[in-house]
Amino acid sequence: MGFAEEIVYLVSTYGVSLFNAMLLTLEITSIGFTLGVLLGLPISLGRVYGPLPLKALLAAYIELIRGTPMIVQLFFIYYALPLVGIKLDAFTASIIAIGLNSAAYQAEYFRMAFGAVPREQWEAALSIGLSKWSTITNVIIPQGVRIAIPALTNELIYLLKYSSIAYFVTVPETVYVSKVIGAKTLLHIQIYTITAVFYILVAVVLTKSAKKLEERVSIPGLVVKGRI
Amino acid sequence: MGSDKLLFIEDLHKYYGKHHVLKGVNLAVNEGESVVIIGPSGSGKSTLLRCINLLVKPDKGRIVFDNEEITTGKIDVRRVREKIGFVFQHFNLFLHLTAIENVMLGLIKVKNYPREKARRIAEEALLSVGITEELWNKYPAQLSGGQQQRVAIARAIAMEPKLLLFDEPTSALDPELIGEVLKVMEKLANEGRTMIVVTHEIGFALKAADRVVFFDDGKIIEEGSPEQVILNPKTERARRFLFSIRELYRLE
Amino acid sequence: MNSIEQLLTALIIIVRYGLSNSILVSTLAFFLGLILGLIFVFIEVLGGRLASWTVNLLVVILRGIPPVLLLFIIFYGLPSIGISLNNVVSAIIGLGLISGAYQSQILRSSIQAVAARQMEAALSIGLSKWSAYTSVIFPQALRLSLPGLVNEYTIILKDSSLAYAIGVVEAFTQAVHIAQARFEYFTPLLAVALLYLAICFSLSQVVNYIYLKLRVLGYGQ
Ligand SMILES: Nc1ncnc2c1ncn2[C@@H]1O[C@H](COP(=O)(O)OP(=O)(O)OP(=O)(O)O)[C@@H](O)[C@H]1O
Ligand SMILES: [Mg+2]
Repeated sequence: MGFAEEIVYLVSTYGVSLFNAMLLTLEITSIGFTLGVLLGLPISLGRVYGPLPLKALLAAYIELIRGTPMIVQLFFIYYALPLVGIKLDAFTASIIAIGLNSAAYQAEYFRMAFGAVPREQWEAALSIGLSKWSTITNVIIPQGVRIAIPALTNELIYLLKYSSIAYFVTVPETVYVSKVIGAKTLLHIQIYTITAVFYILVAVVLTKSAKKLEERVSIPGLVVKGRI
Repeated sequence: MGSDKLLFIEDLHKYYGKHHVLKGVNLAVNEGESVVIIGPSGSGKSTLLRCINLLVKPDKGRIVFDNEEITTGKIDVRRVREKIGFVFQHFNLFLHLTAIENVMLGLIKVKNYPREKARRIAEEALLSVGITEELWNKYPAQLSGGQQQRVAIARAIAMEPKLLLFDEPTSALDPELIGEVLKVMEKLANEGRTMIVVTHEIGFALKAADRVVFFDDGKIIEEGSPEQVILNPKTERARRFLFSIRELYRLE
Repeated sequence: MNSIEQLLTALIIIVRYGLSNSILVSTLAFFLGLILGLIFVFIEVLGGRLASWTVNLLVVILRGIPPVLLLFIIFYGLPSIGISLNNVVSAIIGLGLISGAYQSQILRSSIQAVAARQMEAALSIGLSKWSAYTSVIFPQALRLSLPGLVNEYTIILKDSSLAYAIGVVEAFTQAVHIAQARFEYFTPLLAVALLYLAICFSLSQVVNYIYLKLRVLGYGQ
């Protein structure tokens, strides 16, 4: 069989399980990313506008996450937490690990984006009588989120790739399933080519859509100096 | 203090670290009066305005506004700011909002007006500063400096403030755009609004001010009618300063 | 054994029998990535249309592929076309390739930043485009890239833990081995986390120091 025929063979034989695995990869990625936004946004607000002890605590959390590999974090959650009675299945452990990891990075992206909003915007908002909270929600967040889009896109693509760490705790996502198929058929290069194309295509599509989104929500004059 | 006094400032001091910026300011402003403050750069004019709407907290002294002392800790800062409009040197329009949304934000979020009502008021305010319909949905960056500043003025007056503060509203503008903003400000003064204007535009002071205050080194050095302070200053420092800006602005 | 002792022994074992591999893999991958990054960026900046298109495609591929997958391709896949590499070499090449894509981006953005300010000046004194790049733009851009490159090293170091997937006994693998032997994951994982933290934290201090130095030298924005 030639390379192309082998690819066709793999797709026709294992297409369904590959497809399911890819869906699982997308699921892990999107849940992880959403968790990351839901946690990262409040973390960044607490880190910038919160009281001092909270600031310190959140800064420590961010350093802790950014200073260690994601896989160590996953193993902690999956293998060490049962020690204190928290037993999670592999899928849940994976999305929690990815979500907690992403929250730290996203908090930093949001923090930098909020920092890029000029101080004068604050003063203008306060001067018409808006509260601090109202200023954050009506002025700082709408501007900051737009500024953060490129960084968040990179984060999403990063998570797409690193959702594959779920392989290490035997979640049947794309890398796991292709490894199994590779071992079964010995068509390693062929199966990995298929999965690599999947990841790269999704990354390209995400990049393109993010560009579109960025253009759609872009506002004349709202540009940042320097990338974050 | 009489009840016709809208603003009453007594022995106001402000330090930035060791830097003594306001050194005992005393100033009273009557309802309907427009006061122009002139003075050299770094003398503390902006700091004074910022103290009045509590963007900056003074270290000593009292400010009474609308029959209420606002320099005590107990005051609701937002209610005070709502009653005081502030126009910035660099406009400071909200970059993510269109012209009309800039005016509406405070009406909706501070005054809790329904959207429709807010829009009506905003339209009126914009028209009153000469911003016509085709500009309402433009973002700040799509407007000229003069247009931006007029939108900023509309944003301030739409809140129906009792006092308007202007901090060098024309000094960031190209010369040909200054006139349109000054005209709006003159109109506001003639309507009988209470306003304090920091500016170097002597022509405006002569035309529209009820009183001119010369400010230097954190204190009021001289005050009086525009003619008196500008054309016939008593103190040497005011004379020198006015001479230099007259040179700069090539006035008679 | 009490838990402090357990932590310390785990630390010692990981440092003695794992960390050196982590550092070896990361360092060699980093320099492989640097060489690739420089080549990529040279081609992008100075090469022809087709060459830079090819480089761009490579960068898109390398930035889109999960590191574990690339390690599998190299370690399990390449033998079938006659290239057999041991696991350490596979890890170095895999991580180095990916890092090459990222390092080329770091280098490119600083080249663009410097070129925006200095290109006209360089051309105006009569330099050719080539010598403007080689004698004015690149030397400055390299300096400007330093913080990003050091940061990239910490990323590779963390990624080197993924070499566990192809059996490289680096720090993380060693920690897992200890955990499996002791039936206890908490202390070995804590030990290896502390090691990564210590290295990443030190390197982030280095990054801050370089930023400071660069600002003094007038490279800051
Ligand atoms: N936030 C601040 N922190 C420290 N010092 C400040 C701050 N704001 C103002 N100052 C200092 O206080 C002094 C008065 O500043 P202020 O802006 O009130 O002067 P000004 O009269 O408005 O001058 P200009 O004509 O330049 O606007 C200046 O020396 C300034 O450097
Ligand atoms: Mg000022």
